[in-house]
Order: sequence, then structure tokens, then C-alpha cells
Amino acid sequence: MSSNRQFRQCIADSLACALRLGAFRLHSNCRTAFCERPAIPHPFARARGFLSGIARGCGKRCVPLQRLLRFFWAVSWSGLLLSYACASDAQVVGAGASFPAPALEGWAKAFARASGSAPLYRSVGSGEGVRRLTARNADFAMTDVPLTQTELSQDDLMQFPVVAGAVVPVVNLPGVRDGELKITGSVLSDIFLGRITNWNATALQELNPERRLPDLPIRVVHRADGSGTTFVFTYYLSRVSPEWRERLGIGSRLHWPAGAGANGNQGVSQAVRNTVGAIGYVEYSYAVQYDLATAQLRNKAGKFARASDAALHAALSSARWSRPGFYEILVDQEGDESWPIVGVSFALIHKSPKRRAEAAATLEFLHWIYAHGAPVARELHYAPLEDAALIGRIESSWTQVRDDTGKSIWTGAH
Amino acid sequence: MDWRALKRRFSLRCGALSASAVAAFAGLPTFADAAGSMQPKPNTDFRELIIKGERPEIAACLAAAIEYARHNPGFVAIRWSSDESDQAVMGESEMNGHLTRHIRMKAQVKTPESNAFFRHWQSMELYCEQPDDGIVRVSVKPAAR
Repeated sequence: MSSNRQFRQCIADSLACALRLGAFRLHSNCRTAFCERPAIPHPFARARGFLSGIARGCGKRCVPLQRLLRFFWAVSWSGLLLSYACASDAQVVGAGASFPAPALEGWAKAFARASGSAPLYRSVGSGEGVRRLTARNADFAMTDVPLTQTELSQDDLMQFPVVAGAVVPVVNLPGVRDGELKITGSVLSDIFLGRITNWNATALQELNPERRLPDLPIRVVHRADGSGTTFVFTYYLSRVSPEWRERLGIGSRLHWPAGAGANGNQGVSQAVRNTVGAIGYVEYSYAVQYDLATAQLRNKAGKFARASDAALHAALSSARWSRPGFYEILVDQEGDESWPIVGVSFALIHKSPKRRAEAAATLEFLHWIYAHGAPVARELHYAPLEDAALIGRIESSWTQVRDDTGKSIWTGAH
Repeated sequence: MDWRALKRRFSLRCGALSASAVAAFAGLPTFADAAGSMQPKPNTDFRELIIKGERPEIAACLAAAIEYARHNPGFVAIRWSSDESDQAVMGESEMNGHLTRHIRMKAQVKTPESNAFFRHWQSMELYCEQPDDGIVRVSVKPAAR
């Protein structure tokens, strides 16, 4: 990302900060090399500047104006002091995957109602989220590309799961409704490899003998940005197709052999909705939100599974969470009901955060998600983590988050 | 001391106090940042690759490749284009509960044998074997034409 774009991003974040809190305050997003100082003058300071300009023009004749100016001087400094004092009630800033974004937005709203502090989450894709966290432009990142312990240790990062969701193939085919089209992993791989290019191809027609598929070209839609949804989807394709594994492999960003790219789950959903003959892959809640037709997928047990909350939970129940950094990718799991492509959204935080207040507020927010966030997640068709033992393990790992003096920031929920 | 002088002195003292309070508040984040230098040193190559927008899942391999080229007398430098990193093929295998990532990609290297004045970049195949909690093993061999 260019420095110019980063600067614009910083200004946008500062504005968002000012609008939310009613006053400008120093913000973790403004701590980049390009925005070391407050980017926006305090509103009172701006008014004071305007009045002093007028007062200079009319000299001693404007005594009332000068009194007003003094008043503004006093108010602007006290406003600034107040906004710094309010900064102790730190605002949490997160960035990353669009996959869990609807859940994060729901949680942020509910958390704001409960605590009075509104976390800000930017849905920018997993790759960009990791980038912003590494550049210390966010307090936490959400990623569906789990990092291995080797990667986490390169930048004193910690990783833990927050929520799971299903990745579903979505189609826009005339006469085909939600859950009617049947696809296997190898056929799906051939479509995304550009080998199957028409909807009435023999391989597709054989899987769907009960309906006559239209003579339409297949329009593949994939993600253009660095995406965890792509990582999980290609993980599945690599598992079920030897050709995919050999030619393209697993990745958050790939050199796609076919199709057109769109940004975010929102972008793919819109592109599929607007293109007849399109096929794409999105997180399940986006398919529901955009009213897209999902396809049935043959799972490891050989059964065609429909995307549903039950199928998602069936896949999640097989997770072990035993690897370092809770690394887990739930594709092609056992079970008749199991949905074969399930992604887990992980939170990433620094073990040595530079801003203690923001780090403590981040952990408080994440604790709230585990304690009270399940109903919001379920409502949005995600699978929340509800295993008390797992949550206990996650929260006890937070004691590794330490401030400059080496003191643990997390001392339990308040 | 008359009332006006007292008032002026008081307002001056107030002004000085508020100015120092403002300076202290404004300076707080800076001091906190300075104290932040106590944290463990991260791998700067890895951080730079991530900040440049490299794929996070192959960044540890690429950081290890830079380190490999830096310390191997057989190489002078290594580089790759964004297209080459997008074409990197990553796979995973698991043995006894331990995960290993395998990454294969094209890169270009300069070797000491190249002409000293006109060193050409040679196309190579880069391989990384990255256990989930261990050292990344890097190997480089000439790319098949």
C-alpha cells in the first residue's frame, strides 16, 4: 500500500474516531510514520483560529470579540484535556477478514450497549488485517488464514479462534433455487480450473439428473484481495483435487486460471447476484444476506450436504484445537451431516502491545464475545465457540500479553 | 499587592500550570512508545514482507529465503516478483500431529559466478519446508526450462 493511501486511511480513521466520540483524540491508527501528530485540529481550536483571524482584522475596536476569543481559548484547551482524559476509555480498533465481519459488527454494537465503548472493525480482508496489525495500525486482526507457530513467533503474535462459519459455493442460475444444485469437490475444482466452462456440461448434468441445466457459460467469480475465505476454499480444493494441489495449492491470493476477481465477501456476493451464470464462494451469512442460491456439496461420507447451521456445527464438533496457536482448518471432516468447507476466524494480537489501555480493552471485548456473543453469532448463521474448557485455555493464554514493564495486562474480566 | 496584580499573577500561574499539564498529556504516548523498546525483537524481514502486502502464509518462507541468500556464499541476492509470489504453490502435510507447510515458487538469484559488471538474475526454484514449530528449511535449485 502506498504511503499516500496509508495517510488517507489514517485521516479516515481519525474522522471516524472524532465522529464516534464527539471529539478528536489520539488514536492507535494515527501512530504510523505518516501520522505521528493529530491529523485533525480540535473543533474548538478551529473556531478559535477563525475568530482570531477576525479579531486581528478589527484591532482594539473588537473588545467583545476578543473576550469571546479568550473564552474559546479556555474551552479549547479544556476540551483537549477532556478528550485526552476520555482516551483512558480506550477505543478498540480491529481490522481483517470480511468472513466474520457481520458477527464482529453485531458484537461491537451489543458490546457498546453493555459497556459504553464501541469497538471499530474494518472489513479489509485477512491479508490486509495481518498487515495492519504488524504495522501496529490495529489493536487486533481477524484472519481466516491461521498462522503456524513459526509465523507467530516472527512478530510476537498470539492467535486464538473466535468463531466458525461455512464457506459455500453460490450460483446464479435461472430456475435453480437455494440448495437445489449438486456439486462434488472434483467438479467444483474443474470449474475453478476453467476445465468445465458450461452449465450443461456432462459432469454437472450427471450430478443433477432431475433437472435440465441451462446452456449457459459459467462465469467464475473469485476473490481479488488477500482472503482467508480463499485460503479455506483452496484448502478444500487441494484436499479433493490432485490437479489443484499440484498446480495452484493453498493460498489467500492466487494466480487464478479462470474467472474475474471481486473484493471481499460483499464484492463476490454482489458480482454473483448481478451475473447470470455466475458461481462464486462466500461465507454462509453473506449467502443468506444477499439471498443467493447455495449448492449442495458431497462430503467425505459421500452424502450431499446442504449448507445449514446444523451442518456447520457438525463439522465444528470434530475440531481438536490441539496444535500450537489453536491452528485448525475444518475441511472435509467426517460425519454424514458435516458441511465440507468450514473456516475458523482467528484473532491475532501482539504479546507486547505498545498501548496498554487499548490492549486491555481489546481483551475485555474478546472476553465479552466468548461470554455473551453466542446469540448474535447464531442469529447471523455462524458457529460460536461455546466449549468452556477451550475458552478457559484461550483466556489463560492472555496472561502472556505484557506491557512495557513486563506486567501482565489481562487480570481477568472486570 | 492590589487586586489586579494578584489576578494577573494568578492567571499567569494558571496558564503555566495548564500549559505544563497539556505538555505532560501530549507527551505521554511518546514516552510510552520509547519504553516499548523493551519488547522482544521481531524478524524484520518477516515484518517488512507482511507490511509490503506479501501473502502471510508464505512470508516466513520468504523471510527464511532472504536469510539463506544473505548467509550462503553461493548467492549474492534473491528477489521475486508479486506475480511469482502469487503463483507460489503451498501445501500442507501432517505427521504425528505435527503440521508441515511445503512451499514451491519461482525466484531469481544472483550468484558470485555471474559477471562482476553485468550480473544477471537467474531464474531458480525455491523450496521451503516449514514445520509448525521449528526452523524453516530452504533449498534453491535452477528452474526447469
